[in-house]
Order: sequence, then structure tokens, then C-alpha cells
Amino acid sequence: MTEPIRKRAKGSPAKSAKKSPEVGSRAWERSLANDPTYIRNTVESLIRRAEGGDRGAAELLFGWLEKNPDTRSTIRGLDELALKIERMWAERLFGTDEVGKAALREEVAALKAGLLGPAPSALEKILANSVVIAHLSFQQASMVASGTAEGAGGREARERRLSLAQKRLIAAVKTWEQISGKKAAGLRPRGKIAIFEPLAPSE
Amino acid sequence: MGWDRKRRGPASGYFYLSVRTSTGVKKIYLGRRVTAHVAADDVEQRREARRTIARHGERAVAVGSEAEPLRLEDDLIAWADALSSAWLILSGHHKHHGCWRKKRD
Repeated sequence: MTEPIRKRAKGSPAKSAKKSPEVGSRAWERSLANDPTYIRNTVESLIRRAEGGDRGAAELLFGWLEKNPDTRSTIRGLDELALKIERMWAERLFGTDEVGKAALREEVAALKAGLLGPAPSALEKILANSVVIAHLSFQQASMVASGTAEGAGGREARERRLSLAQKRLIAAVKTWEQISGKKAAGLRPRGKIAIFEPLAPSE
Repeated sequence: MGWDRKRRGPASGYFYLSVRTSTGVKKIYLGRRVTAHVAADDVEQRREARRTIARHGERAVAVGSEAEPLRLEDDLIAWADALSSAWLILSGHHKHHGCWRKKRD
């Protein structure tokens, strides 16, 4: 005789399910340091305060980035995000044309090699990735804009999208240029903040 | 411009198209027949596209399958902006009318 299957009572947690910390508890507060959205919101909020003239905000930002070295692993995850977007644009640009996709991969690799120095930091990798992604996005927008569009509204939308993609590419190049220019001039943040330090060759 | 209803004449009015030229904006009379209606549709579609862009940004004008990569791209660019600003602040810069400047020691 087979044993009857015991059904889990409605609302009771499954044994195998990983229990997430209760909201508001210390464990929950600690877990936030690994949450990408929380990290970005914290950094953005401190930046806004510092830009608004709050002298203490820069100190807080420094202390926060120094105390949370796990941020580096979260930020490394952005490499995977960039790779995902690259694949998406390659798919939309070339579809099933594998030769085209291979050529694009080579172009992207060459572009990245040109943008990254010999010992790039996590930040420099993100900046180089955003230039590459903005370049692919612009290529896609140009391709769509050169095609036939239904009606004047469609044409206007495509032209507008192309102009926004162009602006975004210019902004990404400017940011990369600004940081690499200042770095070449010998400027660097004080202290040792993991995301601004050169990555190990394996990273 | 658009449909201009005269005191005398048809209730629909006559359609005038505004065209920007090197000497200024000119009004072109297109009447009230097919040409006028096609031009009016064209103007309305352009206006609607501009309204959508103003309301929802670039992703709103993304064509079909472009919306998802653009959403992820927004995310990556927001990270790049936040971290580069952090780098600049921690290396002694401040923002002056939208430009980053090195603080004097």
C-alpha cells in the first residue's frame, strides 16, 4: 500500500525554501548590502546630497563604499548584464546571420580592448561596457531608421529614437573620457575602495 | 496650424499646413478635400508621437523588440553614472553648473 501524500498546509512555508530574514531585523539590514537596487539608491542619494553642498555626504559615501566591500561582487555582476545586452542587440541586428554576429563580437572585443587600459578597475569596465552598449544601440536605431516606417508618426518616432541613441552614445563616451582623462592626469579617489582599484587578471 | 473655420464657408473649415522655411514659418493652404485630410492625419500622428516621447521617454518609441534591451541599458547607464559621480566626488571634485571641477586645496 502506498503512503498518502501529505499536503502542506496552506500558508505554511516549505521546508526546503530558504527563509528570508524578517523585514526590519538586523539580518535583513545586513542582507541589503548585497541588494543591487539598495546599493545604487544609497550611492545615488549620497551623491545628490554631496552635489547639493552637503560636506558630510562625501565622507558618508567614502565610509559606506569602504565598509561594504561586497559591493564589488554586485558591481562585477554588471559585466554579465552588459554581456546580456550585447547579445540582445546582436540578435536584433543580425538575427540568424551567425557570420554577422561573429564579426560584431570581434568588433566589440576590439572596441573594449581600445577603451580599457592595462589594469582596469570595476568602474572602468562598466564605463567601457556602457560605451559599447550605447554604440550597439545606436547601430540598431540607425538600421531601423533607414528602413521603411508606417506613416509619418512611425517615421518621427524612429528618427527621435535615433537622435536619443546618438545623445546617449555621446554621453557615454564623454563620461569614459572624463574619468580616463583625470586618471591619466594622476587623480584618484583617496583611500582604498575596492571598486576603484585595479582588478586582478582573473576578475 | 490646422483646420481653420471661416465665418462663411463649410463647417469643417480649410486645412492650413505650417512649414518652417529659411525666411520663417509659412502657411500653406490645402483646402478641405483628400489632401487636407491626409496632411491633418500626418500632423496628428507626429503630435501623438511627440506626446508619447515626452510622457514615457525613449523606450516608448522603441520598435517592438527593442524595449527590453533598452530597459537593461538604462540600468547599466544609471550604474555607470552613479559610480563615475562617486569616483569624482571622492577624488575631490564638485559639480559647478553641470561640470565637474577639481576643488582647490
